[in-house]
Formats: sequence, C-alpha cells, structure tokens
Amino acid sequence: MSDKVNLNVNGIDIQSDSNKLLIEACEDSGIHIPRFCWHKRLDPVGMCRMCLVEIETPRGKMLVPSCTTEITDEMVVDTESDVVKKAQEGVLEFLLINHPLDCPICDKAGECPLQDQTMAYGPGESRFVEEKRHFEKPINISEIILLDRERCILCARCTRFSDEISGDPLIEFIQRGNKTEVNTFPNEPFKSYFSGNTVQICPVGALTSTSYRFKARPWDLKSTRSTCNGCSMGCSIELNSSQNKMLRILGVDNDSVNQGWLCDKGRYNFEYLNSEKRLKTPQKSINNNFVDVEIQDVYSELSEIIQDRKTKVNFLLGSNLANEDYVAFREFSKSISDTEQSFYINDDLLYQGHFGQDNELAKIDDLNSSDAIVVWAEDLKEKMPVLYLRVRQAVKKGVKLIVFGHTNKTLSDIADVFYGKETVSKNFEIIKDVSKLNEIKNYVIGKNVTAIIGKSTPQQSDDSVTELFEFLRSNSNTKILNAYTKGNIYGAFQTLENIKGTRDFVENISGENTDLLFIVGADPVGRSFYSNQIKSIIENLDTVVSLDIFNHETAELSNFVIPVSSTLGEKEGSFTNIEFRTSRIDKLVPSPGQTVSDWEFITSLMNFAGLSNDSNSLEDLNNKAFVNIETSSKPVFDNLDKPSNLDGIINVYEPAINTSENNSTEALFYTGEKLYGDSVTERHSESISLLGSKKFIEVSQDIVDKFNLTSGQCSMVQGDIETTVSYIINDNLPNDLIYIPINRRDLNKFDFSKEIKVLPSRVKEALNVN
Amino acid sequence: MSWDEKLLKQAKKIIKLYPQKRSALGTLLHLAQSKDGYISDDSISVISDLVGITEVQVKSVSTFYSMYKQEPTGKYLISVCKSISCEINNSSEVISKVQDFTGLNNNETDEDGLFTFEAVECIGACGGAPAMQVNYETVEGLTGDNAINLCNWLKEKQPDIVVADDMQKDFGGVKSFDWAITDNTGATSNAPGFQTLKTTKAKK
Repeated sequence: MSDKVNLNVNGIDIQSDSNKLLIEACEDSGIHIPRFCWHKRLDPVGMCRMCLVEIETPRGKMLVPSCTTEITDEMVVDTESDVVKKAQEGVLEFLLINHPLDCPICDKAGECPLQDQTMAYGPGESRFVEEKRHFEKPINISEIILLDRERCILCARCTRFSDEISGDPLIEFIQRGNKTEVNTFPNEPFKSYFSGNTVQICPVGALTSTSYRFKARPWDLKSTRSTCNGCSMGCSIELNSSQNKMLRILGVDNDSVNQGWLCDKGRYNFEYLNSEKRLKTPQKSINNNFVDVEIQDVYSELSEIIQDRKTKVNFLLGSNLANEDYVAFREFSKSISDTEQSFYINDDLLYQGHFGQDNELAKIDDLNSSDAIVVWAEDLKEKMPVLYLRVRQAVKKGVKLIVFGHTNKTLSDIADVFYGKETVSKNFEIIKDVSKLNEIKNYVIGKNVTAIIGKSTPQQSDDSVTELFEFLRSNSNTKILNAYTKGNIYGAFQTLENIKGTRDFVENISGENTDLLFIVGADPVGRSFYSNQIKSIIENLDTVVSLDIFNHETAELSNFVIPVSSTLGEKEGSFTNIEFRTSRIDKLVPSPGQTVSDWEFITSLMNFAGLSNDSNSLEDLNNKAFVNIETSSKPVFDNLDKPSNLDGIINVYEPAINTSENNSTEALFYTGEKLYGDSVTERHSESISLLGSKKFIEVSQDIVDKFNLTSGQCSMVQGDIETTVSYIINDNLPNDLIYIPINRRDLNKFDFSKEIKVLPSRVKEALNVN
Repeated sequence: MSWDEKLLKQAKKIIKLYPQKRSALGTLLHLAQSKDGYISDDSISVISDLVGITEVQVKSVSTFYSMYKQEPTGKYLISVCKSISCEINNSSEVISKVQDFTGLNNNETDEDGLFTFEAVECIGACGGAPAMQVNYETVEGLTGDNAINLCNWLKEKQPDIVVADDMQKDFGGVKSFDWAITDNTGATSNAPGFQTLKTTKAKK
C-alpha cells in the first residue's frame, strides 16, 4: 500500500500523506482554506462550516467540510468554485448574526481570524436587522481569564483544548441552539494551569486575558521569537512589546518541544519586567542601609578585593541565566583560579544524575514513540507543565504510564500503574519488595521505556532514584530524561564545570573558604529548602555581591546589589533545555535605569581589575560556550539563527556535576513546589501574584483526625515561627507525612529536620467561642 | 453529597449497567429529576463525582436536553404541541386557551406550583392532532374547550397519578392508534416514565 495519495485541488495535482485531512493536505501544499474551529493540534469537530469545499463524488459535486474529510486517492477538489464562495458567504453571514461587531473596542481586532476572513470571504453586507443575542459583557471565568460570550462563534476550540490537551475540562457549552454559550459551572472557576492557551487559540475576541486586555493594538506590537526560561522545558515563545514595554507572550508551535502550548506561568510571569519596584541603580550597604553608588565605584572596590590574590571567591548562580552569562562567570573564575572554586547552582535537588556513555539520554519526542513511560520525579504538572502535556499526549496515544511516589499527585490520575504510599516509603524510597515491581514487568521487560527520573524532594537520598533506574536499565531498553526542572540548568551543565547545589553550599561554604561570594539571579533565602542555613552563612561572609532584578531577602544581606537585566526579553543569548536542545533567547525591550547584563558586569569587572580577558562581546562568549562540542552543528549564534534551526539544536553533553552523596534522613515532611509561588518575580507579576498567594499544606486524613482539625485552617508552630495555613486532604500521602509547598510565602522558614506543631487554627477557635 | 443512601444505591446500580461510567449520565440525570423535579446544581455535583467527569460537563449535557428541567416545574407539566400537524389542526387555539386559563407564558410555572406550561415540538401524535401532554402522558384530538376542561379537572382533583388512557377517555377526541391494550400506568412526576426510577405507577 502506498503511503502517498494524489489529489487534484483547483486543477493542480498535489501529493500528500494518506492519512491526512483534506484541510491539512491543502495547507501543506500552500492552498489556504478558511477555518475557525479546525486547529492543527486538536481533534477535528466540524463546528463552524467555514472550511466547506466542493469535491467530486459519484453523485456529482458535493460540499463537504474539509476539516473532517480524509483524503483519498484521485480526489478532485475545488476550493474556489462559485458554490464554495456562496457557501462561505452564507456561513459568515450566519456567524455574524449574533456577533456584536464591536471590533473598535475588541483586543482581537487586527489579528482576528473572524475579522480577516470576513474581509476575505464575507458577503460584505448583512441582511440581519433583528436584535442580536445579548450576554453580560466580559465575565471573569478565572482570576486571569475573561469571557465575552457575545463575541463567541461556538468553534469549541477552548472547550476541546481543555478536554483533549490539558485534561481539565472546566469550561463547556451550556444550553443549546440560539442560547448556546461557553461557561463554567457556578462557583467552579476555570482554574487551569493552561488557561492562557485558550485565549491564544480563540479565533475571536471572546476569551481575553486580564494581563493584555486594552493594552495595545496588534499593529503597534513589536515582536521577536525567543525561548522561555521558566523551567527546563524551554518552550518556544513569541514576545510582544509596545512602546518598549513587554505586553504579551505567545506560544510558538515547536513540534519537538511545546507544540504551541505554554503554561500560564510561562505566559504571564513577565509582568514584573514593567514593575516600578525594579532595581535601577547599583547599591551598597553601609551600616545596614543601602545607598545608591556609581557602578564605577563598585568595580573599583571589588577590583581591590580581587587583586588581593589571597581572596577566595565563590559563586552561587541562579538557574535562569543565559548560557553566555554562565560562560562569563566561568571565564572570570579561570582568570582568578589560584584557589579551587565551585559553581553552586541555586537548586536544592541537584544530584549526580545519569549521564555519560552508559546511559542513553531520551529526547522529549521519545515519549511518543516508547512503549512505556516511567516517572519518579517531582510533580511534572507543577514543575514542568508543558512536559506534563507531552506525557499526557503520549498516554492518549496508548503509551503506558507508570508513576512512582506519593509526590506525583497529578500524574497518578492518568497513570496505568501508580505506585503510591504502599510502595514508596515515607522517606521516599521504593520499598525493596520485588514482587511489587512484577506488576510492571509486562510493560517494561524488553520494551522501549522512557524514564523521567530525578529527585523530588531534598530529603530523598540519591540512591533511591538510582535504584529504580538500574532496575529499568537491566530489564528494558531504557532511555532517560534526567528531570532537573529548573530554568536553564542544562545550560549551566553545558558551560560550567564543578557544579554543586545548595545542599553542598550549606555543607561547604564558610568564612574560611570564601571571602567574596557572587549571588547571581538567586534568592535562596527567600525560596530554598535550606533558607535558614544559607542565611546564616551569608551573614558571616566578608563581601557578598548580589546581581538581581529586584531587591529580595538574599540581596538584603549583601554588601553590593547590582541591578541586572532580565533573561526574559532584555537579553540576547542562548538557552539549553532538558534534552540539551539549545535555542535562541532574544532581546525585545530595553532594561531600565543603569541595569547591565550579568555578563557585561562580570567582563567589565575583569577588565577593571586588569585580569586577562579575551571575551568582550556576547559573540565571544557564545563562541566559547560550547568548547567541548566538536560537531559542525555547534549551537552558536551563526547556526542558531539559520531559519532551519529556529527550533533549536540538540547536542548531548556529559555535565560535570560534583555533588556529594546525599543519604536518606528520616523525613518528617515532604517539601515540594507548586507551579505558582511567591518568588520575587512572581510577586511583582500581577496575574501570577493572584494565583500564588494562598498558603496551604496537604495532609492525610490521619493527620486531620490526630490534630482534630475541623475548620479548614490550621496553625503551624515551630519555636517562634508561627503561620496560619489552610489544609487540603491528599489521600496519596502516607500517614503522618505533611506536604509543604515551600515556594509559598514564609513556608520555607521552618527547620524541616525538626518537628512542626500543627494546631487547629486559633482564629477559628476564637470564633467558635463567640 | 446531598443524595441519601437509597438514591446513591440506585445510582450505583444504574452505573453498573454500562461499560463506561459516563455512559450512565443520561439515566442518572433522570434519577436526579425524579428526586427534585429538576436538575439541581447539587445533583450535578453528586453525578459528576459518581461518573468521574467535571461538573460543567454534566451541566452541559443537562442543559442541552429540554426534558431535563433547569428549574422546578409545577405538579403538572403541560406540554402542548406546536409542530406542523397540530398547528394545521388548530393547536394555536389550544395553546392560547391553556395560556389564558393558567395565565402562564411559555416555560413559566405558576405561583402555587401547580402548572408549568410549555409549547413543544412534535410529540409523536400527529394522527391525533392537536395533542398535548400532562407529565408526558399524551392526550389526543383536543379542542380548546376540552383542554380547558382538562386543566380544570387537574386543578380541582389534583390527582397524584395522571394516566393517558383516563384523560383520553374524558377529554380527548380522535386518537392516532387504538392498541386495544389498556395502559393504566400513569406518571407520578415530570420525570419521564421509567419504572426503574419509580416515576410511573399503575392506577389502582
């Protein structure tokens, strides 16, 4: 059987793959058929009838919707006949019957498929003189999404997306016929991590985001393609700005990565760029007060410290820098390398991982082609939402999903086999009962398995993760996706040597081995599991230099705070994702005040201090970034900027991670991170700050009974730290284990190696008395 | 959960009849309607838990079909046919007279909670047009006056069970078919006649 079929469209012979839909086959051959409901990434539904075309059948010519018609050999199609034109005019006239035509006040105007196609294919005038259907103008269906039902043309793109792709169908068609509307269930808002995608795919202005609403007109926007640095997925994005303000982020369809989708955090966590509270001038701490200083003065003071060759320097780097920034710090480190230095990455979960020749690394696309996916990592939906979508997509195609750990609450819902608290101990170790693993032998033995494996919480020993991987590797053809989830951490792997995490930072760093510490784009005091220890270490160091966008808890302890530009939209550079795919980061807006890029700061400092330096431009750093990669497709700018490489270049590399062994300690708590938190950028992004402000813990029913919790709120007390949180019952948790999302405000301030008292909320008790 | 044990047991029995839980949705909605007389948001929450789909998906189905009532109806749901056969045979007179008698517009319920009036599309009784239904029990061959007599009777007697054959005998005219089998099973509520749901009852 031939895989290709021949069609004749508008008198032109074209060839296409056999299992395609007519609208797709035409699209591939450059013949555009207008459409509203059909979307490449969604199942066809045939709602809007805009894609009607004529095909020849044994009974004569017939109008069919091209989005639900599969192509057959020798098919003869006419997409431009008079009958088709008449049909398109008719469909548009019907669609516009109840459309308010409020284009002058509609955000979509200018990039609106309905507007564009009405101009191109519409009848030009309406015969409808009756009253149009009316609904309340935009209603909030979630904190960040607005719905204007009058504009809706019932294409079902949003409802299909939430059902098929994200798997949280919280919006649906309500009523029928003329009264049909999209809506949520009363008091059940559209709380999806992926709700922003519905705004992007809405073919009219029915769904809008509070973030972009009334901000700009599409024809005023400047745009560029870049890469999201929110997590190690590295989704392709389009940045939009107007009047030098970043206004919007759209997903770009990168087939191997995000397929057009973004999570809401990636989409809306840019608003901090426009915040008034950003650092704009270098500051120096004098008697615990920050005063503005000239950057030249900072350079000269730091030069003096560096020029003293006895100075011991260390680095604590955030995970959101561009590759070129990491390279600049590497070069700096080389030029002062009298003592041994380490690069500490701001990641609590860093461990050796599985790289090198013995381990075959997986690509994201391998998820679809494998027989089974095994996950034993952080909760993917919370940490890498778009990777979660890709896993979900593979599962829908029939790939078996095996999930380990009570830590994986969201994946357990779609897993074929879920090893929860019965198999995984309270200390995050797989109970060594081989008979339990027999269940999955059918799925894995001799099969192609993609393993997404990483540590899910700092208390977990490195061994516990390795053990499962060894089991898989000895029984199946396993490829591994090392689940380091933080930003551009793979970029750090590719450019730095001797990398350690925050755990090693706490163990190693002291006033004795560090005189000068650079903290770059990291707020470990505000965010880390090791917050308290890091705080006391930093307080005891001679000189601490913080480079960041905002002042935060860590910066407040520093001697110098340097304002830097954001990797998102204010910098050029490159980013490397979880499959070592390097793609371009682009600059669209200027950064405010006296901000500099991290690499500019450090190279200037090198020049000021008279250190040997031969990389004074971004291109120099970029060329040096991948010294260890010898292929012709090195991901340098010249290569990345070729149109064929816009989706990125993969160059697998063995990183030099140098963490110490972490043994299991008894876990009293399970600490993790939710998608939305209270980091300094999230706090200054209006949309995200609405979503990540609530403080809560998750508990087993056991704990509710034990502590007599009834009101939905409880107090957590440890020494003089006390905070009130709400609690949610999570049946996946083993007895006695409390889940604490440490990226919510103040929840990382506890000492997790000691007991935290849980008490019924005092406020509520007082209310009960009254 | 606002459903009692008995109802939940019945619901679980219904779910077992289907290969997939969500296939039971339609019947469960009828069950909910037999309980409250309409589909309440509480019932929707219960059903969504039972069949494992979201509340709004249940709502979507329940609002699509017009026989799932979104608001409580009166004790007697009067549905007069307005489709073509009945229209030709003067159903508009029946409609206007019933409306005058009850004082109700389309899809309205009176204050006493006795009558709900609706004008509906074909009820499958074209041979006996014009026709109407009381709690989905059909009466055929009506005239405007007979329809009023029927409403009057309902208002005065307020029977707990309405039986098609009885109403046909007292108020109806020409019938589409005469099956020669007496059907004395009548409706006890506006939920369509499913014996499993106990919404039908034989008249003693």
